[in-house]
Parts: sequence; C-alpha cells; structure tokens
Amino acid sequence: MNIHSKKQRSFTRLNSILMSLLLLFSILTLAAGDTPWNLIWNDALQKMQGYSSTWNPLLDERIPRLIVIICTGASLAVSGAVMQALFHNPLASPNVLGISCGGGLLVVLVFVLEWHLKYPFAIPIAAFAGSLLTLLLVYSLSRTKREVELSTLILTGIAISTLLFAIQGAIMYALRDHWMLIQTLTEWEAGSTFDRNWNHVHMQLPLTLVGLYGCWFYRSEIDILALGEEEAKNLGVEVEKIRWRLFLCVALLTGGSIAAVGMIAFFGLVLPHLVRYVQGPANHHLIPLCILVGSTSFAAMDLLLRTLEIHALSIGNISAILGGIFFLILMRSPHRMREY
Amino acid sequence: MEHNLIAQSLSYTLKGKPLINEISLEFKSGFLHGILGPNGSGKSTFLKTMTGIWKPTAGNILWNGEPLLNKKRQMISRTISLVPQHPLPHFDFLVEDIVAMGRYPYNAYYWNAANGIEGEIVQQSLIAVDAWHLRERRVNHLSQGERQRVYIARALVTESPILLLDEPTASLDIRHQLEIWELLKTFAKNGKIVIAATHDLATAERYCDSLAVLNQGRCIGYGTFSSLMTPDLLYEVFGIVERPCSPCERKFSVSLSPTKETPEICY
Repeated sequence: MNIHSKKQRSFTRLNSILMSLLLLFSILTLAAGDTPWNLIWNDALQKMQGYSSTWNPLLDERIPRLIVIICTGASLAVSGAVMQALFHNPLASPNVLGISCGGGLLVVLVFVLEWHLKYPFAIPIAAFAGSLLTLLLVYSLSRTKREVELSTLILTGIAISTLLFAIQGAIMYALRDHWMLIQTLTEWEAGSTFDRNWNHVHMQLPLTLVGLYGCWFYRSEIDILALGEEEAKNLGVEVEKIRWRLFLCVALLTGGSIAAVGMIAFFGLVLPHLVRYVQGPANHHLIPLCILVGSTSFAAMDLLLRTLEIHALSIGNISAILGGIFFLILMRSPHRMREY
Repeated sequence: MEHNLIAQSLSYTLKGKPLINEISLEFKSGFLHGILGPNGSGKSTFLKTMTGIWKPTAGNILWNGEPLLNKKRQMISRTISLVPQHPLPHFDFLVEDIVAMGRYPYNAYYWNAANGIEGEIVQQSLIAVDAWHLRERRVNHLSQGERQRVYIARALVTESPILLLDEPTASLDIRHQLEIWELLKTFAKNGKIVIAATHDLATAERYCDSLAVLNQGRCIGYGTFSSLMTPDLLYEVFGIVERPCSPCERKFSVSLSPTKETPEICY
C-alpha cells in the first residue's frame, strides 16, 4: 500500500469519527433544554405545517444556534489554516494578526451609531469590511522587500491589534454611562452563542458558505503558496490574484463569525496545528478536517457551558482559556509537534 | 529542433540599487551553460529574473524569438523551471507531494499526479535523481543533499525545456555533486537548455559547455572556460592569483598561504 492510500484511509477514518461526533453533539445541542422534548416536537410540527405561529425552542432557537455554532467553528479553523499557509507562518491566525480586532471595531461603531437597527446587514458588512481592511493593512505594513517576514508579521499584527483594541476601549470608556449599550457590547465582545436566532444565521451563513467554497476551490494553490511566494510563482501560481481572492475568503469567514458570535480567540490558531500533526499539511485533507474539527469542538464547548450551566463564562472566554493552555503546551512540546 | 533562449539587456533594480545590469546572453538547447561569479555577483537575481519570479525592471526574455514573460504564469512554468538554492519548505509536505506540485501548470489538482500517466512522470523523475526511495518521507526530515535532489525531480516533472539551477551542488558531498552534474549534462544532451549558477571553478571547467561570468551585477565575459579564465579575470572577479598545480593537487583548488595576502588558485 502506498503512502497516498494510507493517507486516504487515515483521512476517511478521521472524517467518519469527526462526523459521528458532530452528529452526536448536534443532536445533544438540539435536545438539551428544560422543556419536554415531545412538547417541543409537536409544537414544531404544527408550526412547520402552518397551524401555529408561537415561538418554538427547536425551530427558533436551537436550530439557528446549531447552524451558527457549526459555521463559526468551521470558519475560524479554516481561516486560521489558510492564513498560516498564505503567510507561511504557523503563528498566523485572524486573532493574532489583529484581523478580528479590525472587524470588531467596525461592529462596535455600528452598535454605537445604531445602524444595526436601520440596516439589518450592517453588522456582517462592517465585520467583513473591518477584517479585510485590517488584513490588508497588516500585510502591507509587514511586507518588506519581497517577502513577508515572520517576526515582522507577528509584531505588526500585535501592534495593529493593540491600536484597534485601544480605540475600541476608548469608545467604550466614552460611552460608559450608556448601560444598555455597554452591556450589549460586553456580551458581544466576550463571544457568545446565547440567544442566537435566524437573524444571526442570515448574517453569517452566506459569508461562511462563500468563504469555505473559495478556500476549498483554491486548495492546491494554498498548498503551493505555503512553500513561499517565489516558489509559488515558479510553479505557475498567479500569486497576486489568488492571494487577493484568499484574503477575501478569510475576511468573509472571520467577518461572518464576528458578526454572529463575537470575538473568539485562539481557535483559528490552534486547531490547524492539531490537524496538520495528524494528517499532514496538504489542504485537500486539511480544509475538510478543519471544518469538522472546528465545528465539533465549538459545539462541544457550547454544550459543556450549557450542561454545566456556567453562566459566568462565555464560549469566547472558554475558547481563549483552553486555546491559550493548549498553545503553551504546543510551544513547550518536542520540536516535531511544533513543526506542524 | 534547436531552441534558444535570449536574455536581452536584462536589468533588475531594488530600491534604486541595480542587482543586475543590462545582461545580454544567448543559451542554446543541448548545452549545459554555467553562470559563474562570486557571492553577491547577481547569479541568483539573474536566474530569478529569467523566470519572471522577479519582474525585470528593463530588458526582455525571448524564447525561440517570442517574449516569454508576457505569457500566463502557468505557461511560463511549462517553459522554464528553477531549482532554488537551499530549499526548505515552511510546512512539512511529503516528498511525493512536493514533486507532484511540479505538475501544477498542467493539472491544478496536483495530488492526482500520484496516479496514472502523471504518476509515471513523477516516478521517473524521482528515479532519475535517485530519490524514489524517499517518496514517502517528509521533506523537512531529509538532508540538504536529498532535498536538493527532490527539488531537481520536481523541476523535471514540469517537463519544461529550460532548467535553471541556483548553486545545485552547493551543499552536497562530492559523490552526489558529481552525480548531479552528470545528470545535468545528460539533461542537456537530451535537448534541454540547462543553466546552472555556480562559484566552483573546477566543476564549471569540467561540466559547463559555455560560461557567463558575472561580477557586481554585470556580465564581464561569455565563452568557454579556457577562453575566459585569464589571470586578469580571475583576479578581477574572485580576487585570486594563478599558480601552477603541485602533482598531488586538484586542479582549480584555491588555497591561502599564511605568508601571502591574496588567495591562490592552482591552474
């Protein structure tokens, strides 16, 4: 058996395990709650047949929340994997490079100016535009001579995210007397899946689907770009054109998850490392596995929070805590693990 | 059919500093051409500009009389392929995947190249450079020499008629150095245009059919080794002086005597 057959078998096995886990967590997410299941189900059936218009926990809360969870987990993991390849840098992720902060700042402005009340798609548009502008800013500032240098990229990302965070902090401080607004912003900033509905799905799903399709479509170009820009040109990749399209895809994925859930740290940084460690860096395996690992782990975290009824922490907090710990382990692990 | 590749007044300037300046050279198929020069003379810049990886600031590349760099990137990669110096990928791909990526100009989904007719091209290229046994290894776990051979295999997989190599044997042991140069000679005999940058005078003399000597970004000589290597040129380009070889010395070996200020090359 050659290495490709072995890799394919391992990919199929992993795929099956992750799909089963995702199915399990999805069922648990839909089933978990205080209201008896048969009551919800009967009501949902009536509503679907048009006999009822009352609020139903399954149709109006749990299903949209599940879609938002799956989209967010998949978006963050895939955007992290793509950015790490594009910048040929295993430390790149939407959060580390300040892209989430850029999207976040524009969303804060939308909340402050109350545009979300006038224009239903103001939040996703702002999140997408903020993410894209920050990505372009970090990229152009960190590009010296012909290539993006690893240390310059990370330092530029840290500088930009600190700056954007400071502006966001200044806005929130200036508005500290507006209790309702501050509460909304704090909840959103912490990253939460609480109280998600179809509006959030409408905001996120189109961005996620287009972003994921784009990343999947350019999977071989992402592999070749991971070798470096000069190598990619040498092998026939139209580097500038493809990179620009992939930047758009990353901004769509990050913007979508910021719009629907808020700020989620470390998720996009850590998961691609894990998948690469198990399956290797080739994106025709990495992208589908990141989609599954991302959505499964995000669903598991959400379920954990709800089952244990930990109201003091949001899913964004849990993700940052677990991701931070895992990242430290990764940094201290033997060389072989860190190479991925 | 004989092919020719012409560099016409090729220049590349970075931040106002010319790295190569108005280099004009002609390369014919069936020959192994050497680009000789000391470190920083512009050899790598010349090769990267020839492939269009770095866009020339002036000048042209003509392939059989047609401008090459105006074509689409995939078409350029089908025509000209560069083996980089000291390749070290940021992510640890399988050797077979790295080599199969050479099929990208023909087949965007390169990993399918492991199968069918394209699989045979990948296999033959790996066998040609004695790297078939490495195909299941991770590329960053190979020695520098093994990795160099893998990258030469990738250049072969592109089936491009022009093969450029940047210091192809700089980090190889002597046996693999000779093997690689013999291999390059074979590629040239089979009709490819092979252009290799080197600063090794002995291998240049032994293997290259023609040589272009670069110094400070300019081409200061073009011809056969014997016609070029005058004492004046050796001193001007490499800062070394000629002396006769002793019986046990390898020709063109460079030595620095403690009593003399200038390194010497035995000739």
